[in-house]
Amino acid sequence: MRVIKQRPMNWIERLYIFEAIRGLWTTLKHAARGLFRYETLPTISYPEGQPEIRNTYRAKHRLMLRPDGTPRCVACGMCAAACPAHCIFIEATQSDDPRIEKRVMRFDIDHLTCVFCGLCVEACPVDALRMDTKVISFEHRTREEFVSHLFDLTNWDPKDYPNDPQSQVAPGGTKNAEALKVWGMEVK
Amino acid sequence: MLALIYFIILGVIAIGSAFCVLLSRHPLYGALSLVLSMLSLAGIYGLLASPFIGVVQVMVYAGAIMMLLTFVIMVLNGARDSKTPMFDRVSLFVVPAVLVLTGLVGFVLVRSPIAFDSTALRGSVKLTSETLFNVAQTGPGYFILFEVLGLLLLSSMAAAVLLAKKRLGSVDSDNAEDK
Amino acid sequence: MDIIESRTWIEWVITIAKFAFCFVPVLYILLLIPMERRGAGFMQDRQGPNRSYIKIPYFGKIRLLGYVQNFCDGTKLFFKEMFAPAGVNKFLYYVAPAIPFAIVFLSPCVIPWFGPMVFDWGGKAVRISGSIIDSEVGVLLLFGLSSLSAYGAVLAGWASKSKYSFLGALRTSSMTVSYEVCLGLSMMGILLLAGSFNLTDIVSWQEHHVWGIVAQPVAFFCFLIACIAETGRAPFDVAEGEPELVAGYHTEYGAMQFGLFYMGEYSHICINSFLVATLFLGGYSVPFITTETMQAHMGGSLAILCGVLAFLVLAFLHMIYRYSRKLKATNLTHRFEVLREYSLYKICAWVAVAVLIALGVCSWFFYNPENFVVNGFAVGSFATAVGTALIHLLVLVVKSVMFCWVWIWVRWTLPRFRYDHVMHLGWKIILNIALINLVVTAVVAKLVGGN
Repeated sequence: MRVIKQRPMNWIERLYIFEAIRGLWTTLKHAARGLFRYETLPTISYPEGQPEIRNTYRAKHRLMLRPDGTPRCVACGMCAAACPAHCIFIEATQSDDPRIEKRVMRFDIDHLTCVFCGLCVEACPVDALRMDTKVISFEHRTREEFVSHLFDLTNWDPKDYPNDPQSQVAPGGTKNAEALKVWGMEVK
Repeated sequence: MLALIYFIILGVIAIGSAFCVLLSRHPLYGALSLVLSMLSLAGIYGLLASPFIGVVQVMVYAGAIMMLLTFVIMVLNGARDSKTPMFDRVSLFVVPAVLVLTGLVGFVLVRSPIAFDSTALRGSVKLTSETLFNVAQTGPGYFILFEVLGLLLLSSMAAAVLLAKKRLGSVDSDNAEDK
Repeated sequence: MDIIESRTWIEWVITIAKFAFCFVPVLYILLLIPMERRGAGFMQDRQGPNRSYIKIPYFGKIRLLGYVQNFCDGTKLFFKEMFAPAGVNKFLYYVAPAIPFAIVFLSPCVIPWFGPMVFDWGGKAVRISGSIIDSEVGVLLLFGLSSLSAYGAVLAGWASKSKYSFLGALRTSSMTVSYEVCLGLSMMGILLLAGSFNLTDIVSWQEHHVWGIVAQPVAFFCFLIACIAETGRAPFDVAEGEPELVAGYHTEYGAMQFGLFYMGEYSHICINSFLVATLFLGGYSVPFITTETMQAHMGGSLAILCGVLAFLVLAFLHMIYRYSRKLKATNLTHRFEVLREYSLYKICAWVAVAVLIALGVCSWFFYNPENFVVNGFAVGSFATAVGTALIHLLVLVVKSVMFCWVWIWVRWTLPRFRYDHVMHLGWKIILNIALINLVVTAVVAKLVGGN
């Protein structure tokens, strides 16, 4: 065990008054900064100014797509098992592709229950689930709207992820209709 | 004329709240009535052109002493509503004493009716201090009395502290004090 | 009737108009609350409340630099439901908040707001004192009243029938009693030097000798600390310390009853800062200039006053311009709205600067008491007296606002003392220092040969 021994106060510090004046000087400096250099305050006035969100920030989920436009998800259920909040609901169905056993029929994430821990991303064996959408505000009118379905999760635009080559090869977004054509898969 | 009206108002408040002190069932109400009574007395002092005495009345009695008294009542009584009976055995002595006192004061007032000029300054800061401390003018009587009173209060305070210490008593508490 | 006819009508008008000063502490609340909230924000590197606004045509949302928050808070408190918890002592519960607030209106009576106005009115020499009550016991009256205001807290605590409130009330009463003593004793030195209880006399003594803070620096610190303790604010807010007592004596209060306590506290700060300014900082007296000099050069004094005010407004304008430049460079989505809002401030400030400069120039070149004649009635000395009073009042306000800032500053800097530490500080340190200071002052004053 490490014991941190504090230096005993010397008599000037024990008088308190001088230390109090030192503290007053510190707060005065800060107050002057607020008054004369208002824009240097670290506060972001939120709805008008947006915070800078980094790539590693755990925001809303998205499902990665294969180059042909179908979700990468193999419906293994690892994410749902890893989820501490039990907010992922997966229904699997048989895949039409002979190389793949299952494909996902329903993939719901309840963002009211989600704790944004990122364990589902860690658990995914095929890197289908990511949390890099930088969407941090969830505004809906009903509880049901907070549940993201397969369509929400796959409906992202490759242009938003210019630095990620894997996102570029997938058609994504509006091209899901093509996926339906190729795979006969219904994307909700 | 105006002074008389003020005097009547303040006098009625003073006497009424003094009665409240006697009749109130809860000690805290009694104390509050006493504060009110003292405040109106201070007003009467002010009317008598003695602002210094009036202000000291407010500051010392209404402000400090009654505050301490309220403190004591609250500490001893707690937040409980302990109702004391309006009359008990002590009243046997108090009621005659009040009557006798009233009679005496009334007698004195009737015998020597006070007729004074209310505009003459008599309790100002300067006059009060001269009466107390100007030995050449009034003799050393007041001065010595003042100092002796201070000593008396000091000794009574020391006695109170001593009594409280004895009540605490044990050796441990003394040691704790030393540390 | 003879009492009315014994004075000229102008005396009566001024005497009655002086009662408006009773409302100064209440007006100071409007100043102190935004000062406290935004000041606290700045000290903690926050922005403070700045979102509430009034919408006006063309300029859009006017936020007055966060000042509108005041009115929102007030409105909220005012329209909240007033209710008493079960089991309280109804009468005292409702009466208690009114006590400190009522005393707030009485306390400004003895503070000298300006020097005695001496002027000539139709060949009659008129002298009007600067305080509402020119009593020889002045400052003692103030202390008497402020010691009474603690009854509000005590009764509130007792009437609430809650343990937290009750303990808060006990602490308030004991703090009041102990710090009144320190307050009185630390003040005695300056009273001794001035030889009077009357605050006008004390100020005029300081004007002709030195300021109290120079003559009595130790007493000044003791007095300031005792004053802060007496208002019951941090670091001495043991009576309402949140970690121990929820909110102290006003735990059970809500809505405007709480608002009255809140306003009473701020007004108490105002009164005490006026008192400190009056006793130790020369009150209404202008630094380095005697009233006589000022009155001899009234036009110049008024011009300098206008110049100082114009400089302050220009500094404000500089701040606004600087910040709008910085704001334009950001990518905040509401920056154009804010810039439009600022344009209103710019217009107002430029108008103010123009008016002030015009007034200053006019008073510098054209002020001449000989010229003031109304109905063949020379009122030049009256105009000079009014100008002096105005300058005095502004100086006093500036000094007191400075001390109000000290209250806020100390509150947001120092951590709360423990209760026994507060008592230790009061009885064992400040009281002793004040006593020693008093004795030393008395001896020195006697040796130097004052009175």
